Amino acid sequence: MSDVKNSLIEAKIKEATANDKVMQDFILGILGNEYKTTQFTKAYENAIKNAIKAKEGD
Amino acid sequence: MRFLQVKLQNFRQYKDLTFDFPKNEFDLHIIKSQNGVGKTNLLNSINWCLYGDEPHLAGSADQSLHEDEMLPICNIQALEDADKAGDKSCDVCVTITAEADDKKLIISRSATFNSKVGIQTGKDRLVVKTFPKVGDEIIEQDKEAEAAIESYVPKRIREYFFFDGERLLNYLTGISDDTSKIKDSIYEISGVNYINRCSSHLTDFQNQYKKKISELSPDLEVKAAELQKALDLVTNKEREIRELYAANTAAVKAIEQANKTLDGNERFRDANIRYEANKRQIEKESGDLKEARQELAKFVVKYLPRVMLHDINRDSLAYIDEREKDDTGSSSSRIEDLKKSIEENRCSQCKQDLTLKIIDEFKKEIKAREANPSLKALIEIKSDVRRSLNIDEYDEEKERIMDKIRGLQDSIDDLTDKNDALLKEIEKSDIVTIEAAARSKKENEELRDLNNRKIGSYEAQLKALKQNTEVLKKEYSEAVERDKACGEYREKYKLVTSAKEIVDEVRNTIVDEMKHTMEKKTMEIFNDLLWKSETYGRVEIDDNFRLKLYHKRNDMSCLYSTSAAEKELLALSFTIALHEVSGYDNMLFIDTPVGRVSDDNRGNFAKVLRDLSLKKQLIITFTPSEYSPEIQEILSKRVVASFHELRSEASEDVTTIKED
Repeated sequence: MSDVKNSLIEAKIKEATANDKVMQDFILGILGNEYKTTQFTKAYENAIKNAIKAKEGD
Repeated sequence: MRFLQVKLQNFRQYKDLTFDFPKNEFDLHIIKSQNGVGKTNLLNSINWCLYGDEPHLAGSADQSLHEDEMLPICNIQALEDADKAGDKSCDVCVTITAEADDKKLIISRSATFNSKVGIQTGKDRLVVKTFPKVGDEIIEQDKEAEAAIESYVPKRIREYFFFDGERLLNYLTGISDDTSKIKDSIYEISGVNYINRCSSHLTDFQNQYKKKISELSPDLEVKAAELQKALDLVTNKEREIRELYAANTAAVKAIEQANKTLDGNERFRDANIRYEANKRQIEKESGDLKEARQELAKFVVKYLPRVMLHDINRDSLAYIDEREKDDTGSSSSRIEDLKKSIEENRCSQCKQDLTLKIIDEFKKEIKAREANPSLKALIEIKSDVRRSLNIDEYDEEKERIMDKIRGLQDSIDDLTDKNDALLKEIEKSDIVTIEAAARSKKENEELRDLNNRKIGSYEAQLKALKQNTEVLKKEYSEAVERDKACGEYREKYKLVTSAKEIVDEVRNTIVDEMKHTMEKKTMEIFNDLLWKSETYGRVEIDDNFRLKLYHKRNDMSCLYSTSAAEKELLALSFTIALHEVSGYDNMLFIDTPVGRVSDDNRGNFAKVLRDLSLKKQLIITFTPSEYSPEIQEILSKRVVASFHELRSEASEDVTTIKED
């Protein structure tokens, strides 16, 4: 299981983002942050930055 | 998670006691005792071990308010013994040995108390030891230990693992004040709260990027529109100036053409101008002459009768004067005097009293005077006659009008003669063409001058418009640059907005599915456990996760028509469904489950617990009266995996297990 720690949520996110791998990784990443950190702003900013970079690379 | 053992050392009335929970075909464990011996404190000891507090202290909704009135959790006898033995401190320790996910866990919380005053010294010490099937044991303390416990039995939903039936029932039926607790708990268990927090953070970022975009590029479109408008104004003004120049070119050509026509023909034109001017003057003076003649006619009408009747009027006036002179006084005033004298019986002239004879004479005279009106009429017209005699102005006025008429006539004759001569001169040329050329020249010169003035004004306007356009071009360029700079923020905004939409949609789907699954599962378990299988049709969970139970026959909501046993059974079904749906499939510790169940249904409820213990570990407490022969028959020795009967020792400060 990913950092999301909830297989149902993970499965639903994957289902909803089946056609957009970057979006899938981004949402699973930020959801995982909710479980493990209190430094949300920094974690989100990094995740957003990485997702934008990944989208540009597509 | 299922409990293998709970060991209590110096915890409240438990000085040193171990509860083992071995499993056989059934996983049902009974703890029986009188009230006040320690059933609920066993539940508290488990909570204290796992979470560091005791939520089941009677009448203590907020423990902090009653701390001064509560005994320390350290056993009083143990404190006294330690003090007597010269030990300064006494330790309290609760240790839970459990198994979960094929791992063995030993969870231990301890605290040290001052043996003399019974006050805790220092903080609790929490240790979790995990023994995996393969590999070394893992020891976690304090925060790590708390996190490990959270992963098995989250504190926020402990009511669904360690509970008394009444409290859980209140939550489920909305009797509890804290009606949002179930919803919060379920959202927590299902991870929906994590999604909500994620959605909320995405909203924060959305707002942050939106603000940034607005700050960086608030006016690109506005600036573009402003620039376009300014460019249009410049284009229009340039077109207007071009049109004026073109009109002037045409005007100059027309002037040149007129000049050619007029060149050498000015003489004729001057003659024509004079001719036209004379013509207009003749017309004017003819009008004046006509008016003067009318004036003369009026004058004649006014004065002619006076002149002709002048001699007659003079004689008439002399006659009236003569008549008046003959008359003794004014006839009318004389009549008035006579009448007054008669009335006063006294003569107004001589002031003598009147005799009857004189009065008769006066009356005769009045009569005679009143019978002769012609003098009176003559006096009345006298002023008119005198006025008619005035003809002094006649000659002077007559001469003035006649002079005027003669002057006008002479002027008209003179102008007519002049015009005859001019006409002869003009007839020698093409005056129509010459006049047209002159008009054209004049009109085009006026047009050229007007256009030149307009061009001057328009060119000044054009200059200002071009300057404004340059400013707007610069502003637009800057806005374009800013827009490029915030492209990054647009991308980020787009990303978080899409992500939020997906996250919200997933959240809604999960909540709906979970509610549906919970309803289905709760009803399945309820039907499975309920001794009346044909009574209830379905369970519904509303938006606040409150339970509703519907009758099978008429589909009417009937939760409050059910018995206490059925309500508690429904709560139990919901709890078990929650265990299954959430994945936290743990043991259940139920304090006095049949306490609120009537005698009729206790047997049924005991059967439910027996059957449930085939699937799940149940630790149940009973008072001796609740643990009736009927229940004992159902929960027989074959069914009960462990049985602990508690008793108080003589001091009543220590609880021990009664040996059979």
